[in-house]
Amino acid sequence: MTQKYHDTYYLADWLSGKISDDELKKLVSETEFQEYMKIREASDLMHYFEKTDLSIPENIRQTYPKKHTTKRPISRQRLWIGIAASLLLLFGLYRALTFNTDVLIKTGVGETKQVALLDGSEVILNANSVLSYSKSEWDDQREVYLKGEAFFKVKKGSDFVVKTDQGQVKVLGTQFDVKALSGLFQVVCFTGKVWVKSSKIDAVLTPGKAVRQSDGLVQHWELRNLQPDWLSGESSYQDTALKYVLLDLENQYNIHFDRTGIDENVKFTGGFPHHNLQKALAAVFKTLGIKYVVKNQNVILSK
Amino acid sequence: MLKKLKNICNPTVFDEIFKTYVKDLKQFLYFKFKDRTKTDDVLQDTFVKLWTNCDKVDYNKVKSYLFTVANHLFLDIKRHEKTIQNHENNFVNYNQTESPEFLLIEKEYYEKFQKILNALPERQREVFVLNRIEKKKYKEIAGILGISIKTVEKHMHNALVYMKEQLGRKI
Repeated sequence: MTQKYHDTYYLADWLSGKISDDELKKLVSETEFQEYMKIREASDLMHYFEKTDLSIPENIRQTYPKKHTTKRPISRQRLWIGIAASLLLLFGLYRALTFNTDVLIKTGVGETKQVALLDGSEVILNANSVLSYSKSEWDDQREVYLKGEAFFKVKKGSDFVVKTDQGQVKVLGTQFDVKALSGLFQVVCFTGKVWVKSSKIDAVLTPGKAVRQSDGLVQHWELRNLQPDWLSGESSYQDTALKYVLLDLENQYNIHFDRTGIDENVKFTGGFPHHNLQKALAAVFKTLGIKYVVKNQNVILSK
Repeated sequence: MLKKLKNICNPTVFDEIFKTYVKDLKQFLYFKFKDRTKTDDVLQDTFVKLWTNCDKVDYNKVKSYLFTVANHLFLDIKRHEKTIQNHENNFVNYNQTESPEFLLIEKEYYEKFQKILNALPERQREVFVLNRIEKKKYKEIAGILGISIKTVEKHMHNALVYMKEQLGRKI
């Protein structure tokens, strides 16, 4: 009898991923299957507890150096409470990316980076994005420049402004996502309040609200998630022009789309995962009825 | 007994404190939040607070300081989340996807799991820990322990069967 379906030590195969959960289900009872799933989960949890990044204390010490003579009042509250907004001044935004900033953070294709800012605020940069700011100016006005997409968690403190060459966002103590590409400017507010300003937008967003300016058109919408999907390995879209979805796909995977055979302005609602190119392509193109042919790093699209 | 007059602002001391308490703190926070991201955030914030107050905290009371701070931060967040929950209830639900928090492991189950892991025959436990905690592949484990890959797989399989039987018991 050939060992077509399983090996004697199939549980070892299952743990290493050689056989899938569904295949294991066929080999054991339902109760046993649930028990094995729990064991696997508990061992993952144990790995999570046992393995902590030991560079954290050093990062903390570097983020909060001990040589200051001026004692800054440090608030360790994690309450993202709104602070009063004041008038924003618009500068030459694009130039600002490299002018008068001494910290520059970049992500490559398919990469995300988590960065702690000087005041303990956090930024998670999505793929192919650039973030910059000036250390010396930080005390008076917390200002960062962004190209691409990032999720911000801002600590209570002085004004926090995100500038992009499409518009800017003033933070009123909060968690929000900003996406700024050529032709698209999008802000989603998760907690707290953000003031969004672009050539056609002047709005304050409260939790669950989002706004975008895309090729001259402004759209407002609402959502329910507490965090952007791309933080958990998936990008999702609500009525977004295909060209932006293609850009994100190129940013996540190392590919290039030949777009000449299709209409890039078609609207897409849905999502794609970050860790499986085949699934990602299927998720986007099958629903739109677009054919795709993959040749090394190039993907040719046609109707 | 001489009381240790260690200075927490000394990087070596601070790092040592981190290594000593990080695991317990992480578990403490995780079983409250049931969420890894929130746990990691608060864990880091707790140590940040220790660092920024390093000249004010008594070295001999550092453990209780850390747990007190962590607990406060946890309560702050829960309170804040309640406010958001009230907000959210007013919004239309466009995205149906809830963030999947895998299978929820309760503290009680996890403690039982640890006990049973320790009760495993030595070889089986070694293989299980090297693979699941140290993330070593079966081939590497075979090399480390000086046994064949097939034997590694056998130990792994048997470890799981044993754990399933012990954990499945309702005592």
